[in-house]
Amino acid sequence: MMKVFENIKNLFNKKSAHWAANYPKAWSMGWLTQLCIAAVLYALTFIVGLLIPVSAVDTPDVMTWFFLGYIPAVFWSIFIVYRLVKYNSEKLYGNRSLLHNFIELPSYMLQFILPLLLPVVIGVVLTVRISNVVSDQQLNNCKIAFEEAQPFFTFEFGNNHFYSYGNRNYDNFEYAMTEYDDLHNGLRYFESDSAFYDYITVYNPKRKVKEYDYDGYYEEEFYSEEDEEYYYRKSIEDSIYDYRSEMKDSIVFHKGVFKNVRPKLYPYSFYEFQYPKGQERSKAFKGDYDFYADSTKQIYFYEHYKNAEFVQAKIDQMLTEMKSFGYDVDPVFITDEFVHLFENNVYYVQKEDEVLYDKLASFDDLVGDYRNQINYIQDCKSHDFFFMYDDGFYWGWFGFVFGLVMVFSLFKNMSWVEFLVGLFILVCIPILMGIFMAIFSTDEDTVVLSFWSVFLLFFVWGIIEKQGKLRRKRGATLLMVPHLLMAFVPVLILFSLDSLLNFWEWSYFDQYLEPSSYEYAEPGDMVYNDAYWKLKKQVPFVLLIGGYLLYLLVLYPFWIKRDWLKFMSKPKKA
Amino acid sequence: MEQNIIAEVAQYLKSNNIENASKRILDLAWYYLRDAPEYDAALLIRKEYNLSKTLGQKEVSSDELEIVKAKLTGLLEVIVALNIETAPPKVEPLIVVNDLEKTFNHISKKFKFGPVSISIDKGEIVGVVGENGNGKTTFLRLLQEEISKDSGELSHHYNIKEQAAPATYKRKNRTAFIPQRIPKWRGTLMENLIYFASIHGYTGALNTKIVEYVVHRMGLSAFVGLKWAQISTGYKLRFELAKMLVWEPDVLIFDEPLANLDIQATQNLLDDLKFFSQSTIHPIGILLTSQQLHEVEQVSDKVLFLRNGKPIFCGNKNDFEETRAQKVIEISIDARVEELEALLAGLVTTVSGMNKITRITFPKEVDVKQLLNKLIASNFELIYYRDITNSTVQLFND
Repeated sequence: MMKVFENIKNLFNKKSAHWAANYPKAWSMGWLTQLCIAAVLYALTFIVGLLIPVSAVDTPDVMTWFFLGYIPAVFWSIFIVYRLVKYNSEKLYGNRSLLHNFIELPSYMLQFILPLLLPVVIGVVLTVRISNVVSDQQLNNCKIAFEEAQPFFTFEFGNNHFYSYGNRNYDNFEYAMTEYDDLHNGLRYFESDSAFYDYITVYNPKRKVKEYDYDGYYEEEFYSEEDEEYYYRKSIEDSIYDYRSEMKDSIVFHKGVFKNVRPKLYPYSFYEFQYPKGQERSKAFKGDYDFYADSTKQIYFYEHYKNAEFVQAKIDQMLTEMKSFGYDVDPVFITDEFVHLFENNVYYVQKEDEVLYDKLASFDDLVGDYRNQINYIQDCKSHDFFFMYDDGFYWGWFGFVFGLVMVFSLFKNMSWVEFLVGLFILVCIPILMGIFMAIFSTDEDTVVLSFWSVFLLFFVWGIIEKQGKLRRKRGATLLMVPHLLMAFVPVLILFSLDSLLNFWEWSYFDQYLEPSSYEYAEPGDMVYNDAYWKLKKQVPFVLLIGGYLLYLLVLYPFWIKRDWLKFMSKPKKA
Repeated sequence: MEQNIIAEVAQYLKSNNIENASKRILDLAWYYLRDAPEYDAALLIRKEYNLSKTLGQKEVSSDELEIVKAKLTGLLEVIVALNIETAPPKVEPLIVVNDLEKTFNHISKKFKFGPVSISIDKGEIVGVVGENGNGKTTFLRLLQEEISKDSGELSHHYNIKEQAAPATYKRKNRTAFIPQRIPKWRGTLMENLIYFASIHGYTGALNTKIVEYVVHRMGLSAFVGLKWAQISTGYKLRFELAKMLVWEPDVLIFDEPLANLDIQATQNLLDDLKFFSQSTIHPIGILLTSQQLHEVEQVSDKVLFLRNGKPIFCGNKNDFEETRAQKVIEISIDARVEELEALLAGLVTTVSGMNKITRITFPKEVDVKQLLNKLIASNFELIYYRDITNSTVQLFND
């Protein structure tokens, strides 16, 4: 074993010497070392992912392992910084070409992305393993059996065990009504199971929507399709949209499941449906939306609830699937209990009926767990974890790595003291502006003007300092502050234009006006259409990314890097 | 030029000095036979010598010694057959300094350096000497543009390659600076040598070749896999020099290199510096500071003697004597100053003693042999003698 390690070490040293002699820039950036570390850590992470026990009834939490993956990633990132500082060819006045300036930041960025992929490795391994723990066919059978049986189950709430509402509609809701239902106009609302949510969202099949605050007072009431559309828009923009599904506890509300289940079973799932935008909306709204919301797609009617044999068959089927999944259940007892309840028109079991209540509660827990497992495995099969499909997450990574690399690349050209002072000043500027605002209650325009004043002050002072022949301690700060802000100048110009001149109301954007048909406005009012809102969302993003690219490809190689090399090589004021 | 080296090597071989012979033959092979098998042979001999460090000493058998000598002699003959004739390097200024001045206004002490005017030429060694705290390091830092000057001119005449960097950076890219306190390096010695060569443009096969040459040439063969903490101060210095030599700088600035070296190491280092400065392939300008005046003067072409920041002497070392009115010798003898004054009355101007060294000043007309004969003829035991008429060491007592 020792000999193997010795051979690996020798091979690495040989390769390292080869890289150092032939690709000095790549070697000094530690690429060989980092790629070797990546190979080892990815392999180890892969193996750990394989060793974690996975079964249908006991699946590891992918997100927990995903975030655990950040622990070694952080240490690895620190090592990358150490390795980059260790061999700093600029401080040794090594040869410098324009190509070096170009590849420097992208190379750093790629290096820092390596550790960030570590959690993804374990996430992918676990996701794939979990998704393969049961076959697609088996999972579908489980889902169908679960959805067909679960309207006949109970659920625990307060001191009672209630029947679930299942696929309730006008034909069945009156029989499933509880004391928590609003008795007026067939309106239904379900209280949140968490105090963290301070409102209750209400929906009924007639498309009457209410939004209640925590105390139960409603704030809005909409009765038309257009109003719902507004509700949807409002929810997206304010990020307050949250449809609580605890009443039904159905797998239907999981995005991953939604893509793979029989639509006719889930009349309420349109809430999870991503509405098409703009002109496509009306067509789609009357198509997919109506399809999902169509009450004729329901599977059960009142007579089904009264048919004990029917109920028993559905529950038996579900229990069979549940057993095949790996759960230890007692089908006879459970089926008997449920059939007994149905036959006797018992809609809820009170806590006082201790034995039955506990049995139901215990079974309810088991079913809840089963449902979660189905959901979870389906999520894995659909690869629906945020790190897998959310491009916002990757942009977040990009922004983080870009910022890190920007700061690090500048740090390489100065001393610790200069760097820390520069960072301190950089942090102080927004704090001071915040204090200024707090004291004088200044408006947004003043803040924008203050920012530009600070930026221009440092920018001009930096240019003056740059012309000097001496390396002064303040010089690093004067260069660092404007350089770090430079990548954000394009998007900040836009924000400033909007703040000072109401950019988004310029006449150019009149082309995006259309008569109101669904906005919360008077019919016929001229309002901005979807294309405008899309533009308003996309332009800052494009400017932000454009600023990054401008920094990476133009400002840094042609200007910023040269500034720092000049600063670094200047004689000190002694 | 090379003929002198060839004669020098022959002399080394004759006196069984494998250390110097193998070193010089490797140098010549590096210069003229770089791509020939003879170079590889010279490199191998030098490497084996470094690794054994026993050749030429008592432990080695005479047979082994003869084998190595035969190999070196064979290589020398190949080099001789090349019939190389080279002229000494042209005198080209690399750094020119005119009236350079710098003032430090510390609260406790004000110190003014300069004005100093001197040039460091290609193929030349400039020794900067003086007591502690007299501005030697300040001068080096000014030349390296590490600190700013207050006034005067400082111009560099380097052969600067095209680079995407500002002028100061480019100049520093061609200047090797070894401070008195050698900065700690990370990684192995070999990694660092390869790295230093490659970041200065010596990549690929050239990198391997120049690093191998410098490693074995500098006697570092056995240390290539070691790290900072694993080698002695003397070898650290040698390594630091190797780190600079692998990228062939225009100017080498060396602050107090002799401070931690033994006599033999000092002599070797100075020999090497002299050799590298006058290389026919890549002559460089070297500037070093030291308090070991005799040793530095031995290899220097120019001497700058500083006292309180002021240049007491600045110029070719051979010109120093002209600035002096009298001759001076240093002796160590078991006699008191009064006894010597009595003995040498009429011949000498002054006799002064300090510790066990006595300094005797006498007119230029007096032949030094006269004095020595008198001393030898006396009953006093003469232990040590040195003529310092041409040495700036006199300035210490002025």
